[in-house]
Amino acid sequence: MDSPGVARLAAARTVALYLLSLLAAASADLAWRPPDAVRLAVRALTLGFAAGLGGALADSLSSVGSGVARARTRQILSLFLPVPGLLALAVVVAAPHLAAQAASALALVQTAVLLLVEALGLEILALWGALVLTLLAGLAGGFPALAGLTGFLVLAAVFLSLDHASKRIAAWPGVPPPALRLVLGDGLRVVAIPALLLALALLLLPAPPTAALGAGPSAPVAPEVQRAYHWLALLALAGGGSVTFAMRWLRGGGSETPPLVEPMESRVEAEEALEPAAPDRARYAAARGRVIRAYLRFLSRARQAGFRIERHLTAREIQDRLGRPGEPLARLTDLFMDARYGPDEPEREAVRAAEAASRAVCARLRVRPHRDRTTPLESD
Amino acid sequence: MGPGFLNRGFLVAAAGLSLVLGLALRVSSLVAFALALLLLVVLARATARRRLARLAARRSLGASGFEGEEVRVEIALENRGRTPVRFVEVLDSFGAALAERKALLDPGPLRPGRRHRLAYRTQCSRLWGVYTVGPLALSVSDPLGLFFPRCVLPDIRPFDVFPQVHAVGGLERLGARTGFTPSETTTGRAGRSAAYLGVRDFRAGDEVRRIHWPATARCARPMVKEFELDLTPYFTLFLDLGRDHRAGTGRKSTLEYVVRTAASLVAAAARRGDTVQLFAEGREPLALPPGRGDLHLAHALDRLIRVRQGGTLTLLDLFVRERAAVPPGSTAALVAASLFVDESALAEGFRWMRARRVRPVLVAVDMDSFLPVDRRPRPRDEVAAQADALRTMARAHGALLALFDADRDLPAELGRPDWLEAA
Repeated sequence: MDSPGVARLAAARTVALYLLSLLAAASADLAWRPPDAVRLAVRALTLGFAAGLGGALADSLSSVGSGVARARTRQILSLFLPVPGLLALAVVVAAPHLAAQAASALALVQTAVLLLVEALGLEILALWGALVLTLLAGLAGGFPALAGLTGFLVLAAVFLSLDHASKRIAAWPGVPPPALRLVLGDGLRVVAIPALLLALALLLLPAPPTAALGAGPSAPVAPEVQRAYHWLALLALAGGGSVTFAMRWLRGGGSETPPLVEPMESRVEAEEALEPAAPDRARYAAARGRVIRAYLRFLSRARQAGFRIERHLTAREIQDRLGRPGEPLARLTDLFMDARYGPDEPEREAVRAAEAASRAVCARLRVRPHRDRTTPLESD
Repeated sequence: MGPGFLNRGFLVAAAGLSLVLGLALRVSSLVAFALALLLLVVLARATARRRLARLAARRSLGASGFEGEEVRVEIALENRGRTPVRFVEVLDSFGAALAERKALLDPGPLRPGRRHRLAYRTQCSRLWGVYTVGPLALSVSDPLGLFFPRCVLPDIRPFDVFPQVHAVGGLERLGARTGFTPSETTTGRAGRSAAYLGVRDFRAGDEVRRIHWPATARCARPMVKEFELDLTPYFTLFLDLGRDHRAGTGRKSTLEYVVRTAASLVAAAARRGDTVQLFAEGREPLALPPGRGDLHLAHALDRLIRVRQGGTLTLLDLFVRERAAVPPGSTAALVAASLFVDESALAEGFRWMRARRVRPVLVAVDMDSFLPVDRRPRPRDEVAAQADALRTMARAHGALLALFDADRDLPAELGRPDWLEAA
């Protein structure tokens, strides 16, 4: 028996699918017919009854037939059930006056699909039926189109997020289900921007010319051209079938066995706060590092100025080699040696003094990279 | 077909259909709808990727386990992003288990700046050896379940599976001193332990490095430091890993018998408190220095699972080469992968051991009872005669002897209290 959280998720998912179907059917109906409260109520009841009965049907059919038989039935239905939707779209495009009847027929098909959704896993077909009904509403334009298209986007996103959470929980039986409001919130956050933009666009864009539907080119087609079209359609069907069979055959002959994955019991044992991001653990601490970096800036500048400073030289030897500018260089050298070799972290004043001394020394060194020198270029 | 493909495909196909209809019939609302659907797909993809980029994971587990032992692997999952994450799937590879891939799900919410500790337990179901753990793969989806990006963390490390050590019967015959309590590891007689006893005059034969220089200066004659006698039992094991003695496959092979016997003997000796050392010459030489305790045992087992039967040195040549390391009064065990050893060299080895009060033990595996690998098995009469010859020799030199063949169950044989005399 499912836990209350899992049952709540499953129920919410069914409700989302029902609302999606109802909104699509109602918007298609309202788009192509004058509003009739009784008809809409009957449609809502029919769809609701199908959605409710679908769960019970799934339970009673769970012991009927093998999994393979159910999968085969699902495949057959997946092939044939989209066809009425496509036909209805074609009919509406060619003959708009039949749109109302097409919408009613599609609503009936959608009711049947809702009845079988749980038993055969036909969620994608339910979404397809709702999409076609929504497109019918969109073709008519007006408020039903706005409500239908925007509502489809939002409700489809809600259904997908609930479906995703349900399937995850079903695959990991021991995992506690997330709260319903959190799942809904996540889904709505993702769809909020597209839905708002769509609603804005539908409000601002002009209504489509419904009368233009079915008024396409009606020039007579020569019998040869018609025959060519027939052959083309036949070839497309045969080619599609061949490719499908070839793919199935090739896939069946694959020798690569999928790795054996063992789902483990998943439970969060502890939750901890992350340690604050570690500061850049440079070689030296902050104050010490600033003094040393100031000295390294001076060394770099001295090399650019043409002094040859070998790696084995000590700070005092470097000071002696450069000689001038005497006072800031001596001060920088002292502060560097304290920071580099001393036990204590330099004071703030010492850091400032080292940086000032480094700036002063660098300012006196003129860059002349092509000459090696042993004396400063500029006298004090 | 990956997870989310169907829903993703549906949304893209719906966008395509709407776009075609909208453009063909010049219905702007359908074009806008198509673009909104595409935007939803793009946002979902970006969300999933962003979530994954902010996740990190670390694995912690011990470096080794025994065959059949249950191992606990802990995974710390961190969210360094700014939004909570749900349904993070962690896929770990544990090579020593039968099902190599282990999948875990963190249901979440893993809040920003938090760490979740997940753990799984698995058994070391495969035979002893060195396996790998990792890589670790993380997968998280967008809220709609359309995209499941995955990142693989290159956290790969070796994991040692030690052979299951079996209880060894008749331990007292291998030099155990049951009359002393465990704390009495030395006695107040001159010996070679690390416990300092005193200073005495230098005698011929004393090591120069033991000269106590301050005392020598005070007394004006050479003085040496003296240490207490070490009472700890000392166990030396010599393994036969010659390539000529390869026979059998899997659990029924000479390598398996030799390594399992060695592991059981080393474990029994180490757990009893012996100082244990080990010598072998397989594809690479193995010389485990003397040591005691669990860490030393783990080290010994770690070395044992890496041996291969590729050596060219015979067991008795190895013994001759390394016998200087065998201290007087200890126990030395030779584990041979064949009954057909050089008898004169073996007799000489036994004599050498007896002269130094070393307790000799010979464990010989009958390679001819296993499935032959690269040579025909000898006739059973010849094998039986050789076994008799070994028994006679062992009896003559006071050595303990055990003979194993493929038909005998190794754990049961080792557990018998009289397994060293049964031959």
